[in-house]
Amino acid sequence: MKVETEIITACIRKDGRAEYELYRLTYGYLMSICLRYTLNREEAKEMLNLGFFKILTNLKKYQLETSFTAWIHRVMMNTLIDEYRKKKVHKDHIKYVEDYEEIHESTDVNNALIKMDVEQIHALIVKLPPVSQKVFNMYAIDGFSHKEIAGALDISEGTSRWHLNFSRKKLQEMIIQLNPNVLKLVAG
Amino acid sequence: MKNEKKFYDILNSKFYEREIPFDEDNWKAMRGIIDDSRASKKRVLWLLASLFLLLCAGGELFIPKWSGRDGKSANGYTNTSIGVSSKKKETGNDTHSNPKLSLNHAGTSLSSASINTPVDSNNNTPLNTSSASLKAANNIVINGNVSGQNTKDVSLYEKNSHSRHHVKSENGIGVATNPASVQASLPVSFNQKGNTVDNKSNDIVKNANQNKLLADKKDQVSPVPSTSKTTQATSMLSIKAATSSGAAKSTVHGTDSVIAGSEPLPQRFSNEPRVFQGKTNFVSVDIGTEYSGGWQIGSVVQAKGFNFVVGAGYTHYLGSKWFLKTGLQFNTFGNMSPLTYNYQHSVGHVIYDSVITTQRLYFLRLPVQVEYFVGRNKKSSIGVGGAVWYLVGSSGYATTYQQTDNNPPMDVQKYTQNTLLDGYSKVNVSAYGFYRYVFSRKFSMYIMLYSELTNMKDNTFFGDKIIEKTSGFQYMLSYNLN
Repeated sequence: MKVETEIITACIRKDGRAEYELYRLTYGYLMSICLRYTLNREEAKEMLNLGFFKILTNLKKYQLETSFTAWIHRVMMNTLIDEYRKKKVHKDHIKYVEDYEEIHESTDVNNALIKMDVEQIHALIVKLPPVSQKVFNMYAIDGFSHKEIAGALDISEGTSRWHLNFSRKKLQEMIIQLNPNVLKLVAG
Repeated sequence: MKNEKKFYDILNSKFYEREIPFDEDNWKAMRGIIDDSRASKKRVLWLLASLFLLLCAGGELFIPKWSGRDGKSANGYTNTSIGVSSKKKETGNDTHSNPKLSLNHAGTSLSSASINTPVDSNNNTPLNTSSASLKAANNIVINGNVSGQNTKDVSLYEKNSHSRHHVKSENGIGVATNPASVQASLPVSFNQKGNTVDNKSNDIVKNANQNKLLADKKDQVSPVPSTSKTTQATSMLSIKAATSSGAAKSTVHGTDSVIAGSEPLPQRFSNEPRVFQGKTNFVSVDIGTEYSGGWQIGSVVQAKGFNFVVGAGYTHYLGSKWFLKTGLQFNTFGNMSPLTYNYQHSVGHVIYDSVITTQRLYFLRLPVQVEYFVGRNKKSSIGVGGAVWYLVGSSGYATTYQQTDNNPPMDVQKYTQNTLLDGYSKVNVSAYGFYRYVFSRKFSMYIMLYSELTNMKDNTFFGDKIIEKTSGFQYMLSYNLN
């Protein structure tokens, strides 16, 4: 994604054409984030527009010398987290034990993962429980630390770790199920 | 662990390389959100602006009166008059100062209607003067005898001006204060022992104000349980009111301050500008700009544009919220081009001609206006007035030349002329309405709309009843000298 500075400055001036161009350029990137944190495509579109509106209205705060992609990623993530918090009716009081089992991934699982289509992987991730799904997305794909995840989702860091490991384990199981050859290799 | 990291890296790269086709329909929805948001922002801005104006104009009316606000303190009038001298410049025979213009080409007396022709200064060619009114408006004739007695019409224009003022309190310490200012300036309330107590609620202060006005002295001075902040705040304000006829000491933020024995409240209550709080007269300096709509002569618009205004004012307190203001203003009317006026001295085989181009007119104006202050803290006023304009000068140039038949002009000479006023009415009258906002004790601004009532140009020579009027607006800043 390459966004010219001119487009950003024009958007600050509320130039309609520049706004369209910025939307078009960032659509795929932002949508890929939204799709991972929402239940369906319609909700993802709704969230994307909400996030993009925040990006537009806060463009003045963006510092041109920094990464625009990182900035809009952060804004989009904050939007998604805010919405998650709004929808979260009550706090999850379940305290997960930290002593998770260390998983020793097989290289073959990773090889199988490489061969998989992103839509297939996404289909597996959405099968995870909601909170585990969010933790996994935030840690594995969006690069959040456990501390940040804990703060964002209002859970403890230990719980975040538990969700991550649970998710990874589940995903690997699902990948092996989809690729029987991998299972043979691991067993062998 | 290495495999775990690789697992995440693979996922990361797969998701960020994911290609999602652009959805045009979703952009339409986005556009709607953006437009709605901006429209609502505009609505909010308009609403805020309207509220601001309303607050400026009359918001204070809704605030309960502070006792002693309209105190009848015997502040005498400080009648400070300013000298008004208008210097009238001699006009009329100025063509004599120009050797060319003063030439007497005897025996070439002509009828004005047949000779006078407005000239476009850009190309020095006669304008289309098919309209009788145009001729009447613009022509100047010297019938051979250039003694000046036959000089007529030079178009001019003008504007009106008005002055306004600030009034200054004669009470050294702020006197009347409305409750709003009390609320705004009262960060802490305190009990009568001098212990400061946080005052967080405006309601508390409001209640306190009411109590202050109503409470009995003895009740107010009676000890108040220190556990109730609300009661303390109320009590202290009550005490202040109760002690208005005596003198009491209290501690505010650890600093001793004396609550005055008479109507005036503590100085800290008087931060808000209350410029016109006494029976005071003021002298001010006014400066600003003026936009004149100008007038039309044929297809040409004259005097349209922004001009400079400067003046002095004198404001006299009439009573209650009424003030009378007068003064003297100097202003100019520019953008007089492109019309010029011919002084044609002779016709025939050889023409001696003089063309006068007036570029700017200068007026002295004497405004008289009445203004009424809306609200209690006298920050906004509205008013009406009238102004007499006196034309004191002009600037431009004169061009003389000689022309034979249809040959190009010869002996073309250009002279500066700053005195020729013929063709314009010396005296004009205008009416206006205005709004004034007081920024501070010294500064205020005026926005006024005016309309000239009389005729800018003097067309009587031709017997045509052509009226050239102008209207426009002024934006003035006024600075109080006292």
